[in-house]
Amino acid sequence: MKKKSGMNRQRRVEALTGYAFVTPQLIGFVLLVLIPLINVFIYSFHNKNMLYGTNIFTGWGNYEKLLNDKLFWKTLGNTFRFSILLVPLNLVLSFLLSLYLGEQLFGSRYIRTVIFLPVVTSGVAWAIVWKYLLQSGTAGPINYCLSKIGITGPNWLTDKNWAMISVVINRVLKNLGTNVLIFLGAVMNMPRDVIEAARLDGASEWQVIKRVKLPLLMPTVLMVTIVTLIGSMRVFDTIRLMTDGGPEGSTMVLVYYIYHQAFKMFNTGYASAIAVILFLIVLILTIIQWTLRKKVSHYED
Amino acid sequence: MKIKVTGRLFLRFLLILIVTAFFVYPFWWMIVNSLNTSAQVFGKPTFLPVSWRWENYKEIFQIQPFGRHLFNSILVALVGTFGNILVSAFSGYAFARLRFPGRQVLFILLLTALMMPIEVIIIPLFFQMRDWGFNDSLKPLMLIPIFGAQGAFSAFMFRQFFITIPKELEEAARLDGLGSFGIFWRIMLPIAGPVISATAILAFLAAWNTYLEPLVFTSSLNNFTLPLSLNNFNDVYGQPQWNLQMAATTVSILPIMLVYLFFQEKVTDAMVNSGLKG
Amino acid sequence: MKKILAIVLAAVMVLGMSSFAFAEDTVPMKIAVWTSNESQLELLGSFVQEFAEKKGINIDVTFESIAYADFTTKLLLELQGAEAPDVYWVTETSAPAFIASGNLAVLNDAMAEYDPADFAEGAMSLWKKGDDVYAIPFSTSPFILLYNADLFEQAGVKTPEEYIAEGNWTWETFREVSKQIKDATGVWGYQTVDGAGYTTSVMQNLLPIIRTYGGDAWDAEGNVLIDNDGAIEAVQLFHDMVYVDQSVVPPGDESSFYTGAAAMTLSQISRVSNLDEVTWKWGMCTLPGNNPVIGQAAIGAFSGSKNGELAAELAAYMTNKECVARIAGIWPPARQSVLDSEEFLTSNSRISPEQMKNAVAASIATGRVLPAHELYPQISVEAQMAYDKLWNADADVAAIMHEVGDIYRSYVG
Repeated sequence: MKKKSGMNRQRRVEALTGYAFVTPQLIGFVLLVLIPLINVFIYSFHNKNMLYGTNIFTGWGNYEKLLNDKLFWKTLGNTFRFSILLVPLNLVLSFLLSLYLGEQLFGSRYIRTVIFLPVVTSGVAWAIVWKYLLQSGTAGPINYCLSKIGITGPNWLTDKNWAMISVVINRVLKNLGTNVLIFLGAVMNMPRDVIEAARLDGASEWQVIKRVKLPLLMPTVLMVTIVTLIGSMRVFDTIRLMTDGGPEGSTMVLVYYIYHQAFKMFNTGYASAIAVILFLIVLILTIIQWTLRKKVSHYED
Repeated sequence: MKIKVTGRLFLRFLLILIVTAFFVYPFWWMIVNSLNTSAQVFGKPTFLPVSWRWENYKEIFQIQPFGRHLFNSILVALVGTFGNILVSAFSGYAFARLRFPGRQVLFILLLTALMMPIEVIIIPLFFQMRDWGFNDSLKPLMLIPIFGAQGAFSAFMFRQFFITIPKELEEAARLDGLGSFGIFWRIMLPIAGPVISATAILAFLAAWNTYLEPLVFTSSLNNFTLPLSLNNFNDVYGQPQWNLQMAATTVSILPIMLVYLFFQEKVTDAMVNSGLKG
Repeated sequence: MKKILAIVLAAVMVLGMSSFAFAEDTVPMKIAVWTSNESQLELLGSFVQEFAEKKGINIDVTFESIAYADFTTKLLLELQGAEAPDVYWVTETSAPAFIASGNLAVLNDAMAEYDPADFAEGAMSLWKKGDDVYAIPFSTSPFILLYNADLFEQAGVKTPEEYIAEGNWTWETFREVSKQIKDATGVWGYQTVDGAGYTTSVMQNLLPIIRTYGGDAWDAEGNVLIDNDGAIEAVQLFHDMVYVDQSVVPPGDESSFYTGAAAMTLSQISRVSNLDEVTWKWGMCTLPGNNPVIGQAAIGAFSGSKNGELAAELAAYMTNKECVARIAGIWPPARQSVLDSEEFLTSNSRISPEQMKNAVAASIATGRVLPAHELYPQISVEAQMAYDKLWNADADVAAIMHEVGDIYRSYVG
């Protein structure tokens, strides 16, 4: 009897300590994430304008306006286009590089160091420098070098067919290092003996990659894909500094459109409706990620 | 056979050359032009600065309070990182090792913050900070890295780490008369060194590079952080002063780059372990 | 929260106020501006102190410098906060929205003693609603042409002044000159205003040509004139300069007049200080056709200020004749009496009296401000997407200008 109450007491103390330990984080979470998230839904049903101080309930008004907003649809399309260009490029490059680096050949250490330099550089600085490098004509160093080998470089940032590609290249270079390192961690953990066995069986290097390494790395690949995809939804600094959403709105993406509507045009209610759309997209991606994560860890067990 | 070997060697050199062109040359170009005059920035690219104009590095501090911006950035990043680690180490430990009703639900709730882009909630946050009187101050920039997505991420990292620690360690400590707090503070935190440095590095980089938040929450020049400051090397009517912008960008990049090169292994480990596998 | 202030003119204050011992009369005043130039701020600070002396009070003034590019956004965010500025500058494009939203106090009473009739009716049109004045322009700065005389000489081309004397300074001549210089020297003939003439400053760049050819953005009655035959001809001319002659610094190229990489540029007199260090000779003249855009900036008082009455009086004081005359060399005045004065011609040491008269004053006489609209930010974003289509070699100028016209028509009239 006495022993049991002692246990209960210990339990209670443990529970109280637990609550005490998580309280600071949870208070911050409620104030800085949960309440704003609820508010963004509430705002999205209001005709709210910061300049005029209006705040009138409009029901689905903002969402109906979204349906007819050509710029919104263009923006949504651009966002997906950006992701579809960026994610495969980033993944393929970082995957191949990590395989190369995993062999620890000549120059590996150097490559590993320098591809990480943009990661520690602020996106703003990286975008500013590339804006100069990518100037049109022969004014920019890149086009200047291309002209030396007889190629007329495009107007990277002012041609609507190239602007998105330029932004994608900038972002891929900026974040490649992260994914390479994550892949590298997985590559280093691959069971050597399986690979050696495949090689002894006379498999070519390409077959080893395709049949042995890729399946082994699949869990990591899936995770990195989703994380990169969600990250690509958030490209803001690069767009703002390099193209400002242009030309012809060809690089206007969701996050920039939210900023534009909210803080340039002061339509905070309407911007909130766009933010809700962004939230739903990210939510779906996150759910996919967690489902995959469960499946994959099931495999691993 | 010999041709094949030289071919491979050639390919390796080519790879190194390409990597250098994309990842090193931009920085080199930046440094070179930080020592040029405004006109030379757009001349033919040169390997070394044309005029070696060191005054640029003095002028960036005169044209706007750049020293102040540097200080703001360091302050925000340090406070944000420190707070982030402190808060999330506690909660990460509790979620991993302390039993209390609702633990699972609260943890999952917290994880919703993990993937929440700040862009989704920036509008309500703006009004909230205004109502708290935090607008045009550094406070929002410190609070968000502590409690936002980065905070949830750190808590997740800590939980994943503490879950792997054998139970015997705590039981032995408890027999020695340590309470829960003592166990956490004296036993658990010291062995969590690798996680602390990993989360700290990631939190620091996130706070250091943040752009949208200062753009929205600060307005006066004295509250700018580096990312805002770099894009503000314009004259009165918005004409960019390119060479000064490059000098300022160099100043903003070099310290953190040196830190990286110095602690490279740690940073690399932090990235590798950044917990995709958990 | 202790706010760190942009520039505290404490020293000026102590000097000015030493004769007044009543510390309890000190009124804080915050003024939001987009200049961060110290000598300009000092000048503005001295106006505030003179005003304080006149009123017999102490004013603790702080100037807050907000970068021009984000000025309206940041200003509005500030107005939401607890420490909003009492007095602030207003850009021309945000004028209608700021007036309609009630963020500006009515200044009629405050400016009554400073000869309001001195402001030309045209200069005030942006800043009035009915008979009420909501902000007072302190700068009416026309876009003029700067040119690199050395490059003109090198190319063996007559100077713009010579063409003007002949009565032959037309946009066709301008096109010809630009091409001749490019062909003869290899240097770009013309750079648009800060290279932004394709994007953010597209109106300042194109309207002077369009107006000369009989078009405009839209008129006071709400008629859109951006796609009439004249306007299309005008835009085609500029388009040909960029893509046929290739004599204009093209989009995406940052080559700058101020660094000697272009022979002419569109500019304002506030930018002439950029030329202090150049080794070549430069000149200044009116644009061909002399239909420039005039950039205006005004000063207003925040309607929500705790010291609203004083803020309004201060805004009015800072635009009185004496103050306006003292800043005329930086910001050309909207007051007719100052514009007509001899002092105005010598007010900027970098600009000769002839240039001030023949280029600046002459441009003010015939120039017009940009069209205004409450929804200007929306209009400009939408229109920009259409304007962007112009900047291809094979662009169909007429179709694109009709598209711009349709966008304007959906808002105006």
